Amino acid sequence: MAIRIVTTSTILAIGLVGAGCGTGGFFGDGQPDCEQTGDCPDNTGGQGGGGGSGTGGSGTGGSGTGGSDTGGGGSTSVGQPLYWVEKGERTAEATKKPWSSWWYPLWEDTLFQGKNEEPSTLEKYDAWAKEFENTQTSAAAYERKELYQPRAASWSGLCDAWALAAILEPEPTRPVKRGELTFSVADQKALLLKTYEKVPPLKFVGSRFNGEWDDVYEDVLPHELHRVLETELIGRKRAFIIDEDAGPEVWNEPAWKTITRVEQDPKDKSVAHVRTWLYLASPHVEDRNFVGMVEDTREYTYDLKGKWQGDRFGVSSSAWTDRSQWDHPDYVILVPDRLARGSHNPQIRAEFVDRIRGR
Amino acid sequence: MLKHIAAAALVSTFALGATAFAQGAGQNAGLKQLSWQQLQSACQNPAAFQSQRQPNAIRLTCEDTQLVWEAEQTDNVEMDNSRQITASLSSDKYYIIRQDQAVPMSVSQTMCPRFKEVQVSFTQSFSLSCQEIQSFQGNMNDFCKARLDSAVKGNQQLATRTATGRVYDMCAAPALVNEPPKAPAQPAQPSQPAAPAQSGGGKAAPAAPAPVQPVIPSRQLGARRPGIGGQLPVLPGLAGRKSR
Repeated sequence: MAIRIVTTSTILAIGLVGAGCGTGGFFGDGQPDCEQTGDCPDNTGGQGGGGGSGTGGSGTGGSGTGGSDTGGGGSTSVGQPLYWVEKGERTAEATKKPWSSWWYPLWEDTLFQGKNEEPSTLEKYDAWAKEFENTQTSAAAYERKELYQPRAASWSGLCDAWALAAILEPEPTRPVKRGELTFSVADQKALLLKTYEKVPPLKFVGSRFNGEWDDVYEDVLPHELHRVLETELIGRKRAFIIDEDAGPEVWNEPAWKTITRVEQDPKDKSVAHVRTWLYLASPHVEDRNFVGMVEDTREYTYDLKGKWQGDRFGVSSSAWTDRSQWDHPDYVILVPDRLARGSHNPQIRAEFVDRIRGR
Repeated sequence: MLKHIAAAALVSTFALGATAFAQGAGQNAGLKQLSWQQLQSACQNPAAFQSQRQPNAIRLTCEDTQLVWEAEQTDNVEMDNSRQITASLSSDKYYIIRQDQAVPMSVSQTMCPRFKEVQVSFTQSFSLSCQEIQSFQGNMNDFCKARLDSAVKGNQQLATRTATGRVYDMCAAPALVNEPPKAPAQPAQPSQPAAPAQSGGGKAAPAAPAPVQPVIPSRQLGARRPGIGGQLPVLPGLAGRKSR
């Protein structure tokens, strides 16, 4: 059962148990923010990063003006707009493109159960730790006993961990041989995902819909999403994560590119019509050793409400339109530049995984 | 209970087909496999599928993959022509030996394009409601095609374009094909036999010319071919060379 704290503007710390494709690692366990450089991947694409205000901008055909803070929600029908947008079409994509990976459903046993005389990923990890680190680990046994959920919801798995790793980590692209052990691309990706399933609380925009009586289906509100586009993709050129399922299921996927078109309503001066295409990386790979990205897109339409000032529009509130009223992201997760990693499987150590990968 | 349908429809210029793929919440999660029509029925009458409610969390992924040949550049190709004057002279007492003389002649110029194959791909996913599924006439590929066409029509930039590396160069290695000349069209048969046209002289009407194989002068081979890397400057007989 999920315990949900609703807020639309700041860091969310949500405690979940067995919650969906995102399984709970996103929702905090009191760990401090990352401080050790070695454990903290970089989400800036080598361009530096950190906080600061989004400025919109460089895409094609216009100059955006993102807001100053990505968390914002709610609306202000009077007074200052929440942020400004420019009329026209813009395209922007992240400097670092995420990669696709299998999402390892919780009901699946492949992480710990070898097949066809080939040891599983975690069996290889245990063997490697014994041989190269002189450390006895039982990652496969722990996974089987404590984390495997054969009756888990069909959609629950490691997509949350994958979405983070895909944004923050370089993609494993070729098998690595360690002694007699060969770690395939799939093995390396699986191990990486396991080190991203337990992370410090992340910044959410919008709240998760669980189908409870007080859940708000409409959120994430479109002006909140649009602000994230402006600040993250257009401004900082970095990817973020959306749960692309507005309903109770959770499908976290990295959003790495956008094309967004803002048009003035010919009659109503308080409305901007927006059509946004979000490009996502998909975890639905047919081959677990797949290298690269399986692209997917989502199209959203919405009205921003506020006031035009020349070609600029001050945004105060918003509403989904057409089929986006029911088909829109559930929430957005902002990915920090650096992140402390952890696993729900205490036998898995991030530094071991990195050594296996040769990093 | 049917909780989720993950389906992908592949819509292509060359192939239209549906592939249900099992990833996502797939077969191994114990989901029942249905056809599109059955899913429509399950929306309309869940009880018929041993369920108390309609399926939800329906996701449709539409993939559009097109392989298109695009003209990349056009080369100007020159093909040598030849002309030869032959003179034979004889009289009642003398004759002059037959003389051949080549006469300069302008080249034939033509264009030969070069095409590159480009994969244009676009994938879009939709969360569908039972209402949408029930109201749509056609199968899920039709649904996908309509949606994809609409999306791309609205914004040409949506698709990702990747060169496949295959190039169809109509200038490269053209082949000379010897085609037997077509037989001349038969003259229309008059309704009544025509009178002989000749009014005397005893000459017969000229017979239809016998088929003659074209002779390609040997000097025609090996002449100039600008800009295409030393290929033979022969007629671009390209029939059957397309490598797709």
